Amino acid sequence: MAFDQLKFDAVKAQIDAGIDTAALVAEGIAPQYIPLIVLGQAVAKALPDLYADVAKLIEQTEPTEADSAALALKIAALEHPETA
Amino acid sequence: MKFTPKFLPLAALLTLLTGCASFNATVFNTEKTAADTSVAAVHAYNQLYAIEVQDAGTNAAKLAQINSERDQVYDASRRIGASLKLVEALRLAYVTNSADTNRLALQSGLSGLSQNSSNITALIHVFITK
Repeated sequence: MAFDQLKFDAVKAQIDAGIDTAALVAEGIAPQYIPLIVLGQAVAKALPDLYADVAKLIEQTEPTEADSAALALKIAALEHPETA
Repeated sequence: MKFTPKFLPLAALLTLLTGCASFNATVFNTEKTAADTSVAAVHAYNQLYAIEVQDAGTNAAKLAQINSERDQVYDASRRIGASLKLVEALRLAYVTNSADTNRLALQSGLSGLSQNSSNITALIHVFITK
């Protein structure tokens, strides 16, 4: 997926609105760490949606016989780890 | 089931998914994730093992230690292989007959799989970062 700077800036602006950076600096957090905190907040906010997306993805993929056969090969590799 | 911090996301995902996806698909994807992770970890360890043996040269004590570590990793690998084989057999039984007894057996097998999966990655992590 291509990086969409405009979308990123928009999301960042929304997150920034909920973070009082001045208060963080006042608490002794160095300004250079603020972007990391913002990024952390973004990840934290995105996780529930990410999990939901994964859930939808998995829901659509009922295992087939071919999937089961591919898994059997991996199991065989684990049973003979020197070949892994 | 014993959760370690590193394995918590997978356990949380599994808990979330069992509520909304088909149990069969969820179990299979859990198996696949555990297998993929473990095979990758063992593969990485095998690369490290070859390098360590070469570095050890003729140092018998060092070679004995390296081989002892390899035995532990391979033992853990065989355990997870056996655990995956069991869970896959239980899953196929559940697909044929989704009775509560089959479901409970499958859930129990998953607990063992989670533990073994966690063990092998932790073990390899220790040896790779030592």
